[in-house]
Amino acid sequence: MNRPTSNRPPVPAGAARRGSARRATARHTTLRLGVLAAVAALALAACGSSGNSPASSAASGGKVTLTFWSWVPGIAKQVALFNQSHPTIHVNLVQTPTGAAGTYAKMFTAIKAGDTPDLGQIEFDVLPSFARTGGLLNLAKYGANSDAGDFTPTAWKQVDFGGGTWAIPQATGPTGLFYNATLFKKYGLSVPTTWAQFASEAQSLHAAHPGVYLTNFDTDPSWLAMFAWQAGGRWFQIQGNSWKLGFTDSGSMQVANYWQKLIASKAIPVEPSFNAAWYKQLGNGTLLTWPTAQWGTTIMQDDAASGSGQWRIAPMPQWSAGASSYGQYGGSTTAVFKTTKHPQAALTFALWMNTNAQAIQAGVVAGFGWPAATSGTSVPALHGTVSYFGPDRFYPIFQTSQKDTAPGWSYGPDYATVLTQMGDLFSGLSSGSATLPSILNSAGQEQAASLKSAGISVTG
Amino acid sequence: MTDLAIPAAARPAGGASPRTGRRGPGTRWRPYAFLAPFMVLFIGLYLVPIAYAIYQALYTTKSSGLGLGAASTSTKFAGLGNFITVFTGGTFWTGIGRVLLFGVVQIPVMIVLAVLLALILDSGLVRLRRLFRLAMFLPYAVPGVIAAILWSFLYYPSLSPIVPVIHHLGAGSFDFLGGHTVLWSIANIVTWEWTGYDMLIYIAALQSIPHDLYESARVEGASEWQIAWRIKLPLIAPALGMSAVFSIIGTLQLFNEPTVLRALTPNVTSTYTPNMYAYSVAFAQNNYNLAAAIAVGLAAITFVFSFLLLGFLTKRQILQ
Repeated sequence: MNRPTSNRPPVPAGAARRGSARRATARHTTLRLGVLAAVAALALAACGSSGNSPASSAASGGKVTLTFWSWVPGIAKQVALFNQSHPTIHVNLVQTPTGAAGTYAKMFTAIKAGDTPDLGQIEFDVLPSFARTGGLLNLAKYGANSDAGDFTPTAWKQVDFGGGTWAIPQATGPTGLFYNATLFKKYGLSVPTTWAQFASEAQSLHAAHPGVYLTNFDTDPSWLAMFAWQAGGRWFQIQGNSWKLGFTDSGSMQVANYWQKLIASKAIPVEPSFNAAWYKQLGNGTLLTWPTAQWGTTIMQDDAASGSGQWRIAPMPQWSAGASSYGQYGGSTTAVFKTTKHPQAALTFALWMNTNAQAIQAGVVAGFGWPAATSGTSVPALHGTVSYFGPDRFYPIFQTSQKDTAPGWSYGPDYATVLTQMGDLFSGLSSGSATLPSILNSAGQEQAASLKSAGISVTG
Repeated sequence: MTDLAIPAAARPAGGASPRTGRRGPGTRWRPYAFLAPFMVLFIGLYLVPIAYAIYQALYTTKSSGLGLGAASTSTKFAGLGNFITVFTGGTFWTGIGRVLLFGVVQIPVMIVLAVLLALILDSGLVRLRRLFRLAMFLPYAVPGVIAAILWSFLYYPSLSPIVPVIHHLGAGSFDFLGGHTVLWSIANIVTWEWTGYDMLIYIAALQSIPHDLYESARVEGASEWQIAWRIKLPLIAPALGMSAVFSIIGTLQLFNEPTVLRALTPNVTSTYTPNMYAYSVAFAQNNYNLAAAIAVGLAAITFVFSFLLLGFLTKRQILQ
């Protein structure tokens, strides 16, 4: 508002205000620019995070820098050993959460964005899904196949399929039966060597002691897959240019019927493993055994410490007395992503990590699993004892299990969907509204339908 | 009574009065300049992702043969194919039905509980009002995931202190995480978390009612109960209506609590709620196109329900 003043010469209306407004505008402009600059700086800082750096290029002095995403505990030591012994290659390890807990999703998104690291940790069961994205480097083109002989055939066949070599195997998951020896003695049980013996002991134990179970039925389908593998079932096979699905083949059905009988008689509870309640049950004697892979030794030491000293390891029960056939559970690889600028250096690192004796020793100590390299089985860490599991060496059990792993198992191109869909179907198990054989049947049909709708060729 | 608009607590803060004074042609850009930072962020972080999600939902990834290697996979335009898959498949509608059942029971229970608590605290019958108000608001301060983990330990039979007590009382072994009970166990967690929040909103609404209404009612012989039922409740009805709308929107997007409980029981599947379905399809099955279609479908259903509820409330003159 113009306030008329007597002494001042007449000023055009609004000029005085405009003048002060201009100063105010100038102040506002400075303020606005300042705020914009601050916001821009914050945005840039947020966008550029060192953890997600794409495949890096050569740094000063011709030294190659590689980025490696992994979650295996203790792998930093192996990476450090590599960096020390290879002056021309430097690997930056980025510790990520476990694959299934978000890192795989991160890798899939990175592949879509073209923004992947050079190397990544990928487990066997999702490797075909990654190969499907086209984001993995075919290592056969860089001479990886000449090193096939350094690895156990089972492990190599899990990475060399469908016309390419998609990763270097790191660790496999040979299986055995962990059991609580102290409580076995208390309840008068003997270590089962056949599945028939396991079933009868499960039922008599629970009948005599209702609060105790021989084991739980894990609601993660990977656990069931281990048994189907052992019995000769093959959920996926490559036949020519198509996938053949075998969820209801004789081996899988044999396993399904076996566990269904135990579940229906309530001798085995259906509950998920790897959670706080389950660790408590392992430690306090509610669950007496855990059929699992060798990496389970680390899990039990870390999470079920109250059972220390009571547990032992025995070979996995067999379908017929005297047989020797085993499935596998877990296991992972080191894969190279296609966008890497240094494929040869990345391959060198992947091979070294998984064949060098020192690296394997460090990995075994950290609990990464059973070395896939044939030379890896001679590292000292595998031949010692673990106080949790008493004075016996467990090496012979897992070595036999690895050697006698049933051949021909393959994970399909969309295994994560199998796990999710089958896991969902398991919700009917404890109420009895679904049986394992019917679940395998439904899961097979759902998987066939979803693969076909994605255009993938399915036979049988 | 009906001319009391949305109470102060629920009204959006800050009403700018229009600037007086002349505006010349050179100053017309100023309002837009003030709006610019907001519009940039709104468009960039809100509208663009929604448009991109709709765009992604129109495409699909197809493979051929074994589906391995780059050559065999490509992204193709699918039109409404993904939406047809979502809306004709049973999974989406089962999830919607489940959250609607959840909402129909849990929202009224929560609102009634919150109103009762607010009325009690407002009536002056209770000492230590501020302490109780804070205590009942505390569950809201606990992050949703932590709350779900806490309650999961109370539910899981071998970890729970409650289950043995129920057993001792002779009611047998009650499975909180069983097929038919897990939905209501989740409802319990959500009610525990949100009742305090709603209660605070209603207390604020109650405090804006002029007290001479109560005086004149008491003069005419009304009891406290009649005052609560006939004066307080109708006057805070707009707050109740708004919290019902927000609750239905939140319930349709239920995700945290079922996901946490999923680790402990197979009775919560990966597609238990529509949001979990979208998450599973995106991150387990790596099918972002279908996940985008699910998300768009869920958003559409949420719009429909919230508009229906708003329309109903406006018609009944609870809201203007």
